[in-house]
Amino acid sequence: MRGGAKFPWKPEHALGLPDVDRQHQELSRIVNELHAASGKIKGEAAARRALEKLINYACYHFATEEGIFQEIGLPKAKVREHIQHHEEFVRKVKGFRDALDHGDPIGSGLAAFAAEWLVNHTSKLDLEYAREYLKGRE
Amino acid sequence: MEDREPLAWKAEYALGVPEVDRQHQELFRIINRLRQTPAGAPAEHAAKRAIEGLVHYARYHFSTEEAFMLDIGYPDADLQAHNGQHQEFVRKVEDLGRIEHEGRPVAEAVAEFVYQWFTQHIPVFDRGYVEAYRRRKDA
Repeated sequence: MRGGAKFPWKPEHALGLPDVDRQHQELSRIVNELHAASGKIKGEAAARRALEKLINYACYHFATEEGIFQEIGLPKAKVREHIQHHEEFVRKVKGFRDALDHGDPIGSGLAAFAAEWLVNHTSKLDLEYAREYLKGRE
Repeated sequence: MEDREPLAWKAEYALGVPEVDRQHQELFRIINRLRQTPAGAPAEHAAKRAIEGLVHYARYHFSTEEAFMLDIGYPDADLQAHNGQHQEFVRKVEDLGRIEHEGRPVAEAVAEFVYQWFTQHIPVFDRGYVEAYRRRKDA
C-alpha cells in the first residue's frame, strides 16, 4: 500500500481491554480497506466486499460488547443508549449498501463517516464501559 | 459460570497466510467465549447474542477467504465447493441456535459444532486454496 493508512488507529484510542482494542483496530483496518476501494473506476466489487465486511465485522464487534455489558452489570439505561448508537451505525452503513444496490457508487464519504464515528464512539461511550470493566477488576 | 479449560489453537491449524490465520485464531477465541457462556434461562439472551455474533464473524471471515480465492484464480469448481461448505456452516449454526438441546446449553452445543467443523475444514479445504496460492506464486 502506498503511504500510510488514511484513517490510522492510534494508541491513544486503546481502552485497556485487549479483545475490544483488537476489534477496534480491525474495524479501523476495514475502514481503510473501504477507503482504498471507494471511488475507483471498476473498483465496485472490491468496495462492495469491503462494505459487507464492515457490516459483518461491526455486528460481530457490537455483539461482543453487549456480552461485556452483561458481564459487568452495566445499568439497563446505559446498555439501551449504547445499543441504540450501535444500531444507528449499522442502519447508516446499510443505507450506503442500499444506495449501491440502486446504482450509486460508494464515494469516500462512507469511510470518512465510519472512521469519525469509530473515533467518537470509542472515546466516549466505549470509554465509559471500559472504565466500569476495569474498576471491577482492581 | 463454568470455568472450562480453553480449547487450544494448534500450530497445525496455521496456514502461513497471516490474515486468514489471524481470523482463524479469533474464531478459536469465539468458541472459547461461547463455552464460557452461562447456562440457564437468564443467560439465554446472552447466548443468543453470542451466536449472532459468531454468525456475523463467520460471514466476515468467509468473505475474506472468498475474495482471496478469487484473487488467486482458484478454479471455479473448487471455489464453488468451498463456498458451499461456508453456506452450509452458517445454516447449521443458525439451526442449532434455534433448537433446544435437551438439558444441554445451546451455546455449548454451538461451540462444539464450530470447533469440530473448523478443525476439519481448515486442514482440508483451507489448506487446499493455500496450496493453490503457493503453486501460483512459485510457478
